Amino acid sequence: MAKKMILLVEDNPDDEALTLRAFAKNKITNDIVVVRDGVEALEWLFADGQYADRDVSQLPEVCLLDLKLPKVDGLEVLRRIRADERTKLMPVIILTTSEEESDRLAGYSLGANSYIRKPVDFSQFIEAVRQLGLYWLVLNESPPEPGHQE
Amino acid sequence: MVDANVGERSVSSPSGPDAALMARALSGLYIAGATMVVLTLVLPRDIDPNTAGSIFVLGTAYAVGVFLYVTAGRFPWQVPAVLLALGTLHITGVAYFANQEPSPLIFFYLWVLIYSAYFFPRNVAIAQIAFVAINFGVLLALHSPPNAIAWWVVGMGSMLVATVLTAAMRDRGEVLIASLMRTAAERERAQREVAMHRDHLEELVEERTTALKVANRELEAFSYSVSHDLRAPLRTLDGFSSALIEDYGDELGETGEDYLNRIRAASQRMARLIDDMLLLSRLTRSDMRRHEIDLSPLAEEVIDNLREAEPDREVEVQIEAGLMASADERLVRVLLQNLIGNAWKFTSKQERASIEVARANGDPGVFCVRDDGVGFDMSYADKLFGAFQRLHSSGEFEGTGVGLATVQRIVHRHGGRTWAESEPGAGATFYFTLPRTRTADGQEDDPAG
Repeated sequence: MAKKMILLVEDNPDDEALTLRAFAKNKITNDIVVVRDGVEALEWLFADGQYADRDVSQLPEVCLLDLKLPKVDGLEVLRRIRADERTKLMPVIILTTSEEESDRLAGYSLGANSYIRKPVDFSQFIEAVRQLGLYWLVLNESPPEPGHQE
Repeated sequence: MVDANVGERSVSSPSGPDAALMARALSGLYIAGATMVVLTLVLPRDIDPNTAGSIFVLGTAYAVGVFLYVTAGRFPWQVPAVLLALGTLHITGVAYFANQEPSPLIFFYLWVLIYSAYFFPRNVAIAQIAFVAINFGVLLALHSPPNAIAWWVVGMGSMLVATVLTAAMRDRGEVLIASLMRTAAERERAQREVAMHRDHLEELVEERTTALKVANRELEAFSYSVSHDLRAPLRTLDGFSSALIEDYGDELGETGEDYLNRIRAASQRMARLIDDMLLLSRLTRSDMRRHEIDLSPLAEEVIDNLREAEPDREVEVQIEAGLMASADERLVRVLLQNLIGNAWKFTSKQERASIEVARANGDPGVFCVRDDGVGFDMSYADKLFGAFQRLHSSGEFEGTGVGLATVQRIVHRHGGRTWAESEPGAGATFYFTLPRTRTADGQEDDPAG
């Protein structure tokens, strides 16, 4: 069985570096795929465009989704993830700067599994990533693969 | 046989007007006109137009009676009826347009006035012309065309005489009929003006509402952008400073690490500032849901949280039970967090402290949060509730200067007021009022909708 994979949808290179650092600090060694906008995220997930060669059945264990993204925004990415049979059960964690009530409401309404606000204090962020990794990569049992349900 | 017929014809000939009859009729009408003029002079000027109309009609009827007496009843019944109609309609017409509502007398001739009012509702002059024309129609229905024309000329002539006479007297003062007519015209003009203002006002309100909506949308977009975009660089500052300390701490030395820690502290302070600002701006925009709430358990909760964060502090807390108010619970929680948080903060330099949350002087609508902390100089009291105003340096006490501005905004949104009393070193007391019941204070209207 392939090692559990994490999909990080993040357009800000600083945040990307810091998130990867936070994972490394917490000794989370899973493969982390980084896509930098909404379109790229969807292409990767559905093996389309530049990712046409990818094995579409390989789903990430968890998807960390930023909301403010170029081209297609995070909420729209989430909507399409939930609309597709292949990805509708995939755990999606919104990892964002916004604490707007409207974003939280929209995120959960569209079927986000969790909503985490990126703290400015990096020590807090490391702690958040630690708990997140522990919960979603170790504690949580992932949904059965599509087509394997009875 | 033939002779007898001649005598009858001379009394009421359907084929042509009788010269003697016309002369008598005219004299009668002049009596009617003169009566009206006399009444005009006798009646008080501030008389109610309806009463005036009735008096004029009675006067006209009296004149017609005199006229009938003079002609010794030898006239067909249509004559007094038409005269009465002309006089009454003239007066009631004026009264109607002065009043914009029918006088009781008008029901006699309602059908005539409905036409004139229906076709010419806004113009007295046109209505009068129509009235004249309709009267001609009435005469035509009662008489043969030549007689109708004759009676019409007589009727109009009497009106003309009355009008000319009253107009001639206009210069000598406010003549009632003239004043009634002027009142009608003035009223119409005023109504037109008011209507124009009203229509314009609606436009204006609509314009302002749209502008407000746009401004509100912009504000929302702005605060959304602030919460997203302004925080992201701060995360970068803090994150990479922390990475530098961790990865290159040895090379940096103590001073270098200290500098980086300052950068981190500043980033975090700015993040807090942004959060507080956003909270403040959201307080103005958010909807209010007022209920009967008890402030006491809310205050307990706030204290519990503070104790949890700093368990070592010795603070004696007194919270009066049953502090009831009609308010938005979420907003009041923020209010108490700020006021009690301040009391907690400004007593932190002393070993023992006491904080009290209570009614001020037992007044049910006035609450206060009292502490025995460092206090402040009352000469700065006017700066207290301004956003980003601080009376203590950040070195002394942490803070962004938004807390009391937030408190004030919450209290204002509830229609209350807030003030403070203090002395340096002798603690501070912050007062605020909240509505006691929902019915006593109406729900606030949000311009944001």
